[in-house]
Amino acid sequence: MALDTDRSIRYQVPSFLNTITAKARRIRITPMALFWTLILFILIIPITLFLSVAFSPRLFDQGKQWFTLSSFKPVFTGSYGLALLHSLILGVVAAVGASAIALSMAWLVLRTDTPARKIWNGTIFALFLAPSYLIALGWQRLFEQRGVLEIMGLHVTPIRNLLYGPVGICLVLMVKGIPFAYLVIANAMRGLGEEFEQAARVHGGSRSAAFRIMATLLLPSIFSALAIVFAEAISDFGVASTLSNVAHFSVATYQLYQGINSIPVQFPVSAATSLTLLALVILAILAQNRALRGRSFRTLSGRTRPASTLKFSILGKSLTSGWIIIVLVITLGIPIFGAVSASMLQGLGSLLSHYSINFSNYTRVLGSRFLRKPLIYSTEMSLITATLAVGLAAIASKVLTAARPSRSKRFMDFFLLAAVALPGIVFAIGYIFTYNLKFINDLGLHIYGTSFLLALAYTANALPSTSRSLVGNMSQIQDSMMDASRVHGSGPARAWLDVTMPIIARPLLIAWLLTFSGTLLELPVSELLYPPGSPPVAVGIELSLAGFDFGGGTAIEVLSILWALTVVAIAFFLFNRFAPAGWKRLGNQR
Amino acid sequence: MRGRDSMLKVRVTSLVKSVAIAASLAILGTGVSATAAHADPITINLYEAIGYAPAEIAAFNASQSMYKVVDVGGSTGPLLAKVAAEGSNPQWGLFWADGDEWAAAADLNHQLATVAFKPSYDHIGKQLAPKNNSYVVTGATVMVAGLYNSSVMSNPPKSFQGLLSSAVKGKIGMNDPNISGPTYPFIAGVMSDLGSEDAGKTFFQSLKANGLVVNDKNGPTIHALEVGQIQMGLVQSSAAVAELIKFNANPVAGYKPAIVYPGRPTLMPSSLAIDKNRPAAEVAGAQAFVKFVLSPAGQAILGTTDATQNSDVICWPTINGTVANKYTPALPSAYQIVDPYKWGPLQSEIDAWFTSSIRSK
Repeated sequence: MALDTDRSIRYQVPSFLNTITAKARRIRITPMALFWTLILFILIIPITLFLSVAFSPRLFDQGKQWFTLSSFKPVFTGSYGLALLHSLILGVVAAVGASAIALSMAWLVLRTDTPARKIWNGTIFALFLAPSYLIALGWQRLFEQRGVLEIMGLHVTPIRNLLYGPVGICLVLMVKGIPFAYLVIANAMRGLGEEFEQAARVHGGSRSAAFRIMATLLLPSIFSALAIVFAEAISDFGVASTLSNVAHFSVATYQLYQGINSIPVQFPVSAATSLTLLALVILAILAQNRALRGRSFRTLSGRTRPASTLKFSILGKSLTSGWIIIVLVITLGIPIFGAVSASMLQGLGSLLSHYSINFSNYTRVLGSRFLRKPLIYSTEMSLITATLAVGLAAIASKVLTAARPSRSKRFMDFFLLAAVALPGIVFAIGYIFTYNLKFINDLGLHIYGTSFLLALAYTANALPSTSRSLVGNMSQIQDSMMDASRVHGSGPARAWLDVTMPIIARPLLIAWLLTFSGTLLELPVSELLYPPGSPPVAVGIELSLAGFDFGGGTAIEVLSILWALTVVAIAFFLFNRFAPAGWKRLGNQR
Repeated sequence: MRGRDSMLKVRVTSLVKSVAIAASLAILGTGVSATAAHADPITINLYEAIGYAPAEIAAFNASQSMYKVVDVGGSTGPLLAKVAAEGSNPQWGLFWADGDEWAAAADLNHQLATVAFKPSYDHIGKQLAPKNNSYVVTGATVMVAGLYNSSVMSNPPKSFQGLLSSAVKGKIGMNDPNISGPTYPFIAGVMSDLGSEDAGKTFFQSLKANGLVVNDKNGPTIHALEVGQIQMGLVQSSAAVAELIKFNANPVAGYKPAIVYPGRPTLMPSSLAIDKNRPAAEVAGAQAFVKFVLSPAGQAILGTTDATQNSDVICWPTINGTVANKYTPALPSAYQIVDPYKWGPLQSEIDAWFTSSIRSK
């Protein structure tokens, strides 16, 4: 039909216009080509070039050999194998724990009338914003020698011994993973009508059987959550280095940082180590593909009915609200305590017998060069990044959830997870390798050291988690809805706006806020790629802490988190006030 | 099959065009700023991990209009990683950080421009400065100071051997050289002082057997001291003095920090170097900045900066006539200098050994 229309137009227009039209058609760029171009430049090339140094150090002036395997020597000797095993176990436990807790939270918050669900909804972004350093710090402050609990007269030595080792590291990584997992699973659960659970109940299934059916239908999002928490956990360095001091529990990223901190810097060793982390990611992807192969999870159609709310008894309400509050205290209360103790106590660690709490650190940093300008700059960059990343993530998640397996789908899956599994500093180094090449400069392309490149790097860094947060929803959309819209005369864009947009409007908003919040305090990429003279706020905090102004640095961090929460609140207010009614309908309870 | 091939061809062609358009747009976007840059003063990027560097930059930029030094602050490790990643297309004009192993490595790699004037070094500067003037020494700290809690440790160890005594078993903490840049000069100093790398390794293994607690860097080691996990932390002198200042201002019962220097600590310079691979005009500007930092106006910043907010000024001056910050204590009576050209190239191997033999269980 489209061809016929084209032909009829061609007969009516003058020949020179035909020529112009033909030329315009020849240089037409498809949206997917543009998308893959961006992915190529912001993700694939930087990662590939960094990893290539493991085999060819000379490629980027990191050694004399064009080809060698000697960079892998430290990886396959000594205790590195054990460290890799530790990372694998930590990743699996943190991923399973975080996803299980997130699933229970999503169900309680979205499908029940437990009173504490409103507190959870209001605090999930604060949870996401709490840096892992503050979570670890909070735990330390509670359980360390002469910490709060010992001052209160409690004997916590056995717990401390557990905490300062694999159990503690796992716990913190799990806590850090819960908001990621929750956002992914909750978004998918919002799009899941209750007809499947009702069908189970009608056919005599118990409440737990209905829950199992719901959990099965949520498998794509659960596996997305597992994959992303796993990748985040194995790439973590900060938590492990903070809490493993006593146990000296080795993790794979330690070797990677060792290579980077050496003089001279040993990027080939770091690249070889990164390849082993990627091997773990491939294992995760294989497990995910194996679990989901041959099954369809497309549950969201034009007939999807909003879920009804399960009414609890008083006891049920008390128990479920108690569970939510316990999780909140562990995940949010403890890092808040860490921040308060660091930013308001006069004299770091002065919990011994006499200490005072005041706001002097806050009043002092209000005029600090590390706060105002850096925070404004970071906010601008985060706004750009969130918008760009969400646009790309919407397309990426569509590719990832395509019904048919394809090369592009596998490719996308691998590179998105690889970007998570590689610590930010490695990612940033890949960017320098790529965009500081002399021949690129000779072409007149000077983007290294500009806000443009920083925004691209932030976007690439955020893309994996943003895409994963949308995968659950995208996998639920039945193609028939789009087809129906097209049959009724809508173009692709119109059909997308009318059909897909109402379904994913809220997840898009959440993904946008997630990216905005995550970018605002991002450190490793910022530190290596910020334009000279324009430090983002995370670098400001780092510089403040480096000068042993621990109270001041933490006060800037807390103020930045409060600012991010303000933006989140404004965004939700605007959405609820101005978004079309249909956009707000999905996920509403009856 | 032919249909699939032509489809693939269309996709590839479309991708190639997208790449070309993206590159053109990027060139267009950056070309504008490159053209505009000619009218501005010559800018020089200073990669620095020195707390008072921004004050030096502001004073230098205000003192003349030909050059503009731009601050790229950060921690030493990531900044060195950035320099290494830039490889043969360096973007830094100046590099300023604690230690001199990195400067010696860059000098051996023929990356540094010789400083165009001879600084007026005092007795400390003369001992620390490189013979070929490939970089300048702007101040010195000591690695390590033994920061201890005098409320619980009445007789702190005053020698390396004292750290091995059973009386301090499980009470000593130090930093990890893989994370804390200044810790390597301490380890190299111990090895140098004991006569060989192997003798040094034996010493640290004995220290580990005596319950050594290894933390990442100065902050966590000092915190371990504050909460009583250890009784003495082996940290950088500026961090140790900052701790004294803090707790003298706000005394806390049960915690009274004091400083002792076990054995012969290593005198560690802060080094400022110029990249010779930048355009000649930038190198000239970098030379002018170095001259300014070592001038009376530049050196005065050491004394006028508030050390309670910026502990990097708590260092021993290296230039004649400079007045040290009021919080800087007397130089330890005995100290040693480590040759960065000898010990710098050994750092990777020694750091890896530390990980496998000392840090791990």
